Amino acid sequence: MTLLHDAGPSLKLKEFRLIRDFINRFCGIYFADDCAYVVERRLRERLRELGVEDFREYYRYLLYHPKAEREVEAAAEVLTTNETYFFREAYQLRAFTDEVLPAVRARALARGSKRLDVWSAGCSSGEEVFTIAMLLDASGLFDGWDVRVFGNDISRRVLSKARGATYGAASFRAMIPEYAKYFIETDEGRQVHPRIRAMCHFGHLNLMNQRRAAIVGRVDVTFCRNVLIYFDDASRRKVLETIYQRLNRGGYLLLGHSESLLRSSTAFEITQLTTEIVYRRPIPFTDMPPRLV
Amino acid sequence: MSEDGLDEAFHSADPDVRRRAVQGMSLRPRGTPLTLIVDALSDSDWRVRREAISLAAQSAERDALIDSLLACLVETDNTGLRNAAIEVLGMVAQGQAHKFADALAAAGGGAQKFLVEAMGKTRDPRMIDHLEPLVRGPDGNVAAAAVEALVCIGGSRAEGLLKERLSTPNLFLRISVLEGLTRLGTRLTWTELAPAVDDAIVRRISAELLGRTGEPDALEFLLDLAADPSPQTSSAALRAIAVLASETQADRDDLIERLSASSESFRPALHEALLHGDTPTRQGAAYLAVLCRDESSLEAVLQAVADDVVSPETVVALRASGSALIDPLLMQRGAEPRVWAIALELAAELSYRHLDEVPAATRDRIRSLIERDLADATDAVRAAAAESLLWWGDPRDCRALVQCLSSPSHQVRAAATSALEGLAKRVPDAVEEALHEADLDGPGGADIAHVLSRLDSPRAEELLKRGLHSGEPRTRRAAVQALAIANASDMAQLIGYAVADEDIDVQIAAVRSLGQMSTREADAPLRTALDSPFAPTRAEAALALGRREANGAIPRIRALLEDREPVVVSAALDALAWLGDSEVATAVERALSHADDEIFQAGLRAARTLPVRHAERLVSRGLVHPAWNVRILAIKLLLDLDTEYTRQLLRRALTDETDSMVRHAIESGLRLGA
Repeated sequence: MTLLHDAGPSLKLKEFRLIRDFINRFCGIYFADDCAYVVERRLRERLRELGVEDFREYYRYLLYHPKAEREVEAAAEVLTTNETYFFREAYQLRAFTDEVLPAVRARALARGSKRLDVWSAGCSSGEEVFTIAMLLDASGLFDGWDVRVFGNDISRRVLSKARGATYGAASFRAMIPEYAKYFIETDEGRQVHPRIRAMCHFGHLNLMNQRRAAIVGRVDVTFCRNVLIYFDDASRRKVLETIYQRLNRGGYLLLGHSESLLRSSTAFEITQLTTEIVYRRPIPFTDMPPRLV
Repeated sequence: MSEDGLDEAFHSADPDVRRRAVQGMSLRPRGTPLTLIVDALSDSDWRVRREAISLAAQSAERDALIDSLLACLVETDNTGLRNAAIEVLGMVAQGQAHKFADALAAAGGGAQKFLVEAMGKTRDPRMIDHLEPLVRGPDGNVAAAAVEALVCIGGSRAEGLLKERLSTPNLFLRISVLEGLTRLGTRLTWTELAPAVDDAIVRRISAELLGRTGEPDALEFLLDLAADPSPQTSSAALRAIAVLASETQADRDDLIERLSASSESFRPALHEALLHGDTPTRQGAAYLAVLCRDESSLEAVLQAVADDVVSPETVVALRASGSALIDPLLMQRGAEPRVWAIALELAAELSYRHLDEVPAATRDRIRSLIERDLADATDAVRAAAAESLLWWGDPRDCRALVQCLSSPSHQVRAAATSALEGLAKRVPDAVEEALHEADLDGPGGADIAHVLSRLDSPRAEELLKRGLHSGEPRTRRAAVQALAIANASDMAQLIGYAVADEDIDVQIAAVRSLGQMSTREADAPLRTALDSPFAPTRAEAALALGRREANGAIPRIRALLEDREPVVVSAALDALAWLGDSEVATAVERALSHADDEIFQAGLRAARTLPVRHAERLVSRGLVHPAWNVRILAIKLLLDLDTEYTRQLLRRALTDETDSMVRHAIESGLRLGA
């Protein structure tokens, strides 16, 4: 059973919708009807592993089996899309470096702190986390600061890859040459430099689980790029609520280029940067310097 | 926050405080006064307005709210208020077409377009009567707004009106119509579409419609668009060409030939899309690159396969490639492991399928690459090598494949199992020999059991019996399933022991396997399983006894109707219905008032077994169930009953049903019945 050759039970439309909705309630990911073939192909692996004959039985497993909780996690693991690479959407990263970071730095200094927390929500195999850490390092704005970049994902498999920090050619398709100094060549691929790895932390976290998200702590910037596009409206709203709660006041949220909060949340304010639009947790008037009120 | 506090916060200078105040107003027990809602809808901050939209949608003063907002649309210059009013009207003004008609008559052209926008947002088909004259009217702006409104409402009548306007000389309006038809998913024929896309500007937004025609005549325009400097236009064109290629039936070869010949501008766009496109664009580009046999895109196509972003059609097309692709595939040897894995597997399959066309040296090379890669460090490569032995395997490979079965990688084990199952048909003795010393306690124990089940020999049976003692529950489960095929009474006893296994999945497998065995020896362990501490095991046992027509078990299965686990109750009800239990009608009544969907569905299935009049009445209760899957089951059962009364019920249900899948079930069922 490989990507070229996979055979097994077929997924009827009715079963697809039942399983799709079940997974959606668990982790927010939503598959449109025309993606049924992806669900069928990826879940066949689970059916085989469990010795389950067809998708109807698999659905009953998810509903009633004592090990269902573990299984839905395994299903989410195989169904999530994990494609990412270093320096993805570079123009937005430029705005992050040139405009967001100086603002965040000034705000931290104003409250007497030399600590910076960045969260990559849905970090997949870690390329974004390390990209952020490299940008922070290269900016020179936070030398001597306590800088932490935290990445979470629902998939244990990709987290394990992220912790290994070693990547093949596909992860470098948008690589910026001047950052090559942050990698070491190894037999398995290019490995992120230990100094950068030391800034980065990873955790297994379902974005729909608001209570567990508290482990992220309070952050200054959240990257949630090309994650919410896989969610339905209700789940998107729930995740945005979590992100809002985790952001410091005045903290920034960066979404993917095709994403917008317009219909999902009113909690954030829009901040127009030179070339980019980002979102920000509002700063109450009482917290602002008097001249700005 | 108190009522006064809310009012004070609503007048704060801080927009976030105002936003939260409006959020809080929705909890007011007596609702929010209309004037305050309109004030909030005209707030200067969009976030406050958005909260106000939700608040307005809950207003108890609906009629007054609609009148007030219609007046706002005609009178206000406040863009924020106007947009908010449109949105609220869209949410609350269904069935109010007459109010819009009155407002339209009183408004000038400038305000009419806002009213029209709100009409569209209601998605109420009754609005179409009033939109029809506007879409045909002289004011281009209002007509374009009416087009947009028709798209929002959708349906065949709206689509027909849009098609009618395809020939308009007003370019702006024609673009609106084409965009609208694109969004509606309309399929136009080339004859319908061609006159409308005679202009280069219009063509740029028509790629999807051109693709959907499925007619090769559209290709020329699309190839032009694919070479457009704008990545959006180029990507849309590539996706459309992929749709065109997939839907063209009669002249497909001709179309592919034309595509392959158009290298100059088309190929660079294809490369760009494969490397940097979003997922749907990569998907389309990969399909086209395969169809055109574009060797220079091969690595990028294989990368897309490795990233799992290609459609099943692309995989089928790749596997249907000829022997000419084999050498380029083998040249991917130095590529990323996942890319090489796919290249190797495909080269192995193609060389086997086109054996006569492949030089002996190439065959030998493939064979040696497979042997070497079977020990590769990367799981994907090992799996590909193992899978390739499905074609190229011979007795020499059995031992190496069995070694793959101890891999911790599911992917490697699955591929090796598949290859060994294939070899078991051709060289069973070699497979049996290789499996003799296999480790049934390792991670691949279950896979070994699967392969052993393909070998019909006493030695394989002995090995499977050893599998029943494995420390791995998955192996015990697989051994139980494999041994049940023998269907002998001594096997029933052995499998019966597994009903007492400490692992629930082994228990379930044992119960299910016993249920399928014809020997009477299977009954006793099944009755024991009715007392299992695990609910799924009790449920499976009830179902198995029901299928075996074990009428003697009826009293014990009836007792399971009182079980606290829904899975057990629903299984017991199914079993009792199969067994024709005289008391099933009472159980059905209870099930049909149960909150659990699965019990309710078992109730419907059991109701179907009752006398027709009784069944009609009980099953029809499923038509109003909130869960769509329950309604579908009720429809299926009513169609099965097929009486005049059930057909009437279904026709009536169709008028209220909103779920497209449920509607389809009724419509197709009634059509077939007729």
